[in-house]
Amino acid sequence: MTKITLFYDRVRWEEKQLHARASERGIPLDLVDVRGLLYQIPRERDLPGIALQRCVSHTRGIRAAQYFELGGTTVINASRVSEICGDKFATGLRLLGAGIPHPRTAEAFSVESALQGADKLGYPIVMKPLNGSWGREVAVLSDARSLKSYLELKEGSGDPDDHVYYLQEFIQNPGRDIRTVCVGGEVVASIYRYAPEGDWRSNVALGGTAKPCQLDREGRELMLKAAEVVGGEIVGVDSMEGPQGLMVHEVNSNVEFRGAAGGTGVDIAGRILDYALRKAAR
Amino acid sequence: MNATCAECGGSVPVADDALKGEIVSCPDCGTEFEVKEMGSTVQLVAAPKIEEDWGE
Repeated sequence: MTKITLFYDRVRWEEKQLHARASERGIPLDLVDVRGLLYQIPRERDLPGIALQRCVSHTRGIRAAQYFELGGTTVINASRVSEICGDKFATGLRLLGAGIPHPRTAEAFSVESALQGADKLGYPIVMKPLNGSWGREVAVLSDARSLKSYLELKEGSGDPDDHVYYLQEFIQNPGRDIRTVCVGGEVVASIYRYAPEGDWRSNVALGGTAKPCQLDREGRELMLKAAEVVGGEIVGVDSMEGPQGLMVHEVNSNVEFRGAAGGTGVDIAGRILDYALRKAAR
Repeated sequence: MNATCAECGGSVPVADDALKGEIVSCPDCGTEFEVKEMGSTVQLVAAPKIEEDWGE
């Protein structure tokens, strides 16, 4: 049977599920901790076959994918997908280009431009790091005064990434968003994620709770289209129910699916392995 | 099996099917550890702190 390599740097619930399902089904799964790799030019090691890129570190995951893709490994998701999904603005541009509803967004590189952007988008305004995750450092600011204070804090940082200001309109929603896991061009699970008490962010990592969501055909097609425009084979598409309908705000190329699996009962790890085996057989 | 917490000396339970790279925590003090080796004995090291580029 085809061997699948799994690139990881931390074993989360998801990686453990992949390992357990592979063991149960007799699928050879080779766990490679990328923290121990040495990437050299010229190359000294190839990994023929297929690999699942499951690193929690964006940087380490992209490097592993880039390096082994060049040697002929089929990496899911490909490095290019992670590059796009790791950049919220680049993702937004692709969604926009495909006509997929997305919150109005602005990116600025100075405090003055950021304040102008907020005036155009209106308050409250949502500020996010360009490449953050788990709701980390996401803030909703109610007026120009609070935004100025936020920007001053960021200006004091020595990290150039902190000087990229990503602003987004606040979408009024019913206190939940929708996480849809897409694998190989199919919707395998959708959940509503409800924000925990006292928070407005619904990330499961922050304590959000999951309930099954039945998307209609139009909704499923929208999620698959979002996955497709970033080139994603295994992704988590996050959307909100805005006043005008569903809006996709993010596509995750290293999807954590514990909440979706628990909320729906779908064996997502098994579906991922099935897809990897199908792809390897092509 | 169990390992000793390097922080408080408590007993840290580690499942028999734990994998290298998995995170376990001390039930007494909450300190997190990464499973470094699994075999006849288990070796734990301090869990890495969450970094800016971690996530989905």
